[in-house]
Amino acid sequence: MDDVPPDPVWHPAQGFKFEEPFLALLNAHLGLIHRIARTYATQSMDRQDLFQEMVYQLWRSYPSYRRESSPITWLYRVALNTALTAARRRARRPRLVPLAGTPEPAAPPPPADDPEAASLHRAIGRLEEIERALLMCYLDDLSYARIGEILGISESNVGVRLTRIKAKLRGLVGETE
Amino acid sequence: MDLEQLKGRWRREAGGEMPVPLDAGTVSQWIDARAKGVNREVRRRLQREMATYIPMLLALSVMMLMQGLSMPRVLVVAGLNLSVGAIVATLWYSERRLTRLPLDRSMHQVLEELLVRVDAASRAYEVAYVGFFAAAMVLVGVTTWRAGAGVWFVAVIIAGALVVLWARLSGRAYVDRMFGRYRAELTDSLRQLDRV
Repeated sequence: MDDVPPDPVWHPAQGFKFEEPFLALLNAHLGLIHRIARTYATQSMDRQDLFQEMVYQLWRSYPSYRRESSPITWLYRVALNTALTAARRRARRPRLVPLAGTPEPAAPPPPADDPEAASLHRAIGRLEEIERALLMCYLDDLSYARIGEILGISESNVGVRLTRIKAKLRGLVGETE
Repeated sequence: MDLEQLKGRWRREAGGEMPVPLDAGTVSQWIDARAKGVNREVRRRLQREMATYIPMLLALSVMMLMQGLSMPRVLVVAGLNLSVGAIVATLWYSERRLTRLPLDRSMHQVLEELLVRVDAASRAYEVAYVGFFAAAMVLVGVTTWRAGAGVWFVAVIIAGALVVLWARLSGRAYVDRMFGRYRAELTDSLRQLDRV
């Protein structure tokens, strides 16, 4: 049997079943979702598309959200997995056309006015996508154990990979400056 | 730049972000639009597949029934229609499995599971495509044989074999076009994760 959790269904009469706790969780970590969308999608349209896809996938995964597991680990897993799989799925289908009247996410603008930050973001954008995920988790101050849990690799592997990323990033920042 | 410096900079930037909180109306509107979008995508894909099978199904059904109505012929035509129904159901299930992958697991587990599902969907598309053409050719062969096992029958057998061979090659090419790049990218991500 398929172990796919059932889709929570929006019902006009019953409303949004998980409205309050889900919305609170979403708003508490909105910055994180924006950062992941910005790291994985460079164009504004793609960013908005990815952001909405992440919100949708978080909502779909919400019934399987286990209270005992850390909300951060859960959120990172769903958002990063969406970023990785959504971009690929887009290649299999025509781009989604924004629906008239659908509000756009109020994403903070990328740091275009700060050359050093812009160069840093460009360098991060040139890392392999798994390296980007690992670096983001590290920059957000997650422990090696938690990063390993999110990515599904060992703690020691996380350490080794971060050392390599550090060296690679130094070179990339130099190139993009 | 040192990683600790980078972390400091990243955190300052993150701290400076003040995203506008989302309200329930906006979120439910997005979710509604996305859910409909996913279903529409699956429906369109199946409609495209049907455009391949329906004309052939109609041609075969008409060809069979033009020879006169009899219980075996009606049963064969019904069976052929049912087989197309089974193909649609299989493809629908494969597509649903791709779009409903649980994403709350580790990245490694998700990528592995997605690869398994992509492979299963590829196989389903290919088997449905080749199987349908093979079944249709067998049906044409049986019909011709019942009319008399002569030169026409031999010609139909040869043509049938060629059609099945063509279906195999074009089916593989079609599946490669549809899933090839997707699969290669997933494999690459998994390789990146496994690299120590």
